[in-house]
Amino acid sequence: MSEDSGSTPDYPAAEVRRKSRFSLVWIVPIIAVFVGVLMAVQAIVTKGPLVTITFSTATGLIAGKTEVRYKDVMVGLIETIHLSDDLSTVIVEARMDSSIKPYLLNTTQFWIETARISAGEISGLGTLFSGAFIAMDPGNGKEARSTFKGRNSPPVVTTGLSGRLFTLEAENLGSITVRTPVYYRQIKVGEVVSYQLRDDGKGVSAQIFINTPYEKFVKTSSRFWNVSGFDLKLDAKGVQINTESLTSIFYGGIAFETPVGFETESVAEAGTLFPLFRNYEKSKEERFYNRDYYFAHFPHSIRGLEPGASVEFLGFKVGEVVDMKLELDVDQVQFLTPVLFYVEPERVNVRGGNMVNGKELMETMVERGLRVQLKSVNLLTGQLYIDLVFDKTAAKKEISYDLSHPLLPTISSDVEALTSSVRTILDGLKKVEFERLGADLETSLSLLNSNLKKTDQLFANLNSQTTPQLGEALQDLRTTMDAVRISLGPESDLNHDARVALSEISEASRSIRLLMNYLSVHPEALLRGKDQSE
Amino acid sequence: MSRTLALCHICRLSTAVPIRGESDSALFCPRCGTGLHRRKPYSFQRTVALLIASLVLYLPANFLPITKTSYLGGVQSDTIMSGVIYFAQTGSWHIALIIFVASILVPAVKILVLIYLLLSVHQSSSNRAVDRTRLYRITRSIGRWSMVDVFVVAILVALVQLGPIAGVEAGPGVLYFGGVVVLTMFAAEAFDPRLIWDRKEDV
Repeated sequence: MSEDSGSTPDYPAAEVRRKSRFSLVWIVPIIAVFVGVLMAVQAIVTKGPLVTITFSTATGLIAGKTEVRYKDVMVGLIETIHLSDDLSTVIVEARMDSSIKPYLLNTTQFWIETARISAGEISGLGTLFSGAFIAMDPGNGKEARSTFKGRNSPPVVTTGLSGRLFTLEAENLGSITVRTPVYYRQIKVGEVVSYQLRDDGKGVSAQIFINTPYEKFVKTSSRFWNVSGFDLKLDAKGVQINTESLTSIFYGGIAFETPVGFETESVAEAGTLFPLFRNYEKSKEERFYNRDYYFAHFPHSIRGLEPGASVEFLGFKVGEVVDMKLELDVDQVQFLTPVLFYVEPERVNVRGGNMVNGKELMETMVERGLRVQLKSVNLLTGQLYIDLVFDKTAAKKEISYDLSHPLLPTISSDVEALTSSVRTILDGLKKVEFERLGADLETSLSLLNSNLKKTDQLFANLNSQTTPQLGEALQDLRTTMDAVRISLGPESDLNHDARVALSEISEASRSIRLLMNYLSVHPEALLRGKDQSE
Repeated sequence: MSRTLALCHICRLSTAVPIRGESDSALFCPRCGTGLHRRKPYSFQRTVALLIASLVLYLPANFLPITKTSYLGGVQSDTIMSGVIYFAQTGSWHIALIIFVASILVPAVKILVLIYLLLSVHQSSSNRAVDRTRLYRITRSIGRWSMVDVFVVAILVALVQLGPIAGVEAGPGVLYFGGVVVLTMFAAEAFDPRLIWDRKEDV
């Protein structure tokens, strides 16, 4: 412009000063890079551990969205969900918060928290809208872990919950499930943690957790019973409904109490085993739930022994006869009568020391001479029972374990000995010849008749010959009688002695009459002696 | 030394200045002493610096969540792209398209266009100067529309505050995204389109 307009006046030249080659604006990208690097470093440093959890299903889990929470605080996020190679489980990989790393232990539990609705309680409603999440509970383990097996249901016992675990055993489960409440005086004090079939399949066992401070009410002698449903009674007083609580009607429950008894009450240790009774009444009646079964082979007839007959020990009932069979040992051509009976070891109160197991106890007892013997309940009806007796003189024998239950050694029955002696007495009686006895009696009577005739003659003689002499004799007698009167007078010794003797005799005759009366009522007393109880 | 005229910003004095100023010299008005600028000062450097800064922020802007939506206890974090996918999947493809164009396409295209312009200026290219100038005009005018996303987040956060039932929180990503938009706008402003023509006229 300036070049081609020479007519225009000259423009003043601009001043020239030096300036920096670089603009201050470079600070902006430097700050941006600095912030970016800082963030990247922070992300790497705070990146938590990756844990692997296996679940049976991945209900409601979404990779990249579902959180892992502890006490509803987010501690991790699921990164991937995939199936195991054999398709049996779901493997979830979760990126955990680095702050939770020290709590990933061998006891750490994970489970999927979703809405659960049961009669007892409703939980996890929030997950209906927010979706499921994985809950965790660290536990008190020592070992660090990074792979876990997820639970199917939330654990009852979580970290920070103090209390005590006990085991209940019952024949049937009833309506018990996990989280079934345990009541003490109708206050909920605990829950069922888990249950399973016993290894031998002959019952179920359930673990219960009693919360602090209630665990001290569980004593060694406490009784647990099932309170599922309610008791309905209809009688003259009207309708009576007994139940522990409204929830137990629908949801079932377990209650316990400690009855007053012989046992000294001590607080039960954690893990103590208790029987679980079907209902309150049963818990009162039936004290024993453990039965040890045994066989016994009797070498003689067991007529009179029936299923249900009692098994006694030192006069106490300790069990019952279950069944009996007749068996033929073909090899030795010998008949056997095995009897199956059970003993309830809990009928014996154990004092001192630890309860040894039933098998060992029975072995030592047999070693000391314990034998099985059949005894008679009633001689007339012939009922038998099994008595466990100690026979110190018996030859050493051992328990045989060849059969399905241990076989206890036997000794021959005292019933048999007794019946055989009775039989000998009866046989002796049979030999007495009553007919000949009658004939003898007849001859004896005719003999007596002739004797009486002879007596008549004797008296005739007496009249003619003896009477004159009688007067003299009477005279003599009077003098003698005088002397006698002195010696036999009321104050005489002889008189006194005679009176004593007479009263003795009358006493004796009364005893005889009583004896006769008793025998007429209890003829068996001749054999058994007088019944002491009467 | 060829000269040309420059007008003082303040006193409006026409001054003769060299056509090609030295890179380390600054010009001042001989009458009032105000700095004279033939071209936007440090235009190239500024544009490059701001572009680099916006590129750095572009990563967290797209990978960090821009919203945290809580609905009845469930918290959901969304990045820009996951929001687009969410709308596309739920059938609102037009909303998805708007967000995609405004928040992903426009910033990316703007950065690319500015890089292209800077490269062409650096290499003193004289090809299609008119087209390049048009590109610059378009870039400068659409840049501000990227802020739509930031405003949407701001309005949502202000409106959806229903306590425990539902709530929207701005995520850290929105900060970086805003940074990208602002920086690219500054970069576009810092770029002096006269640079496109300088070499051409020299020739």
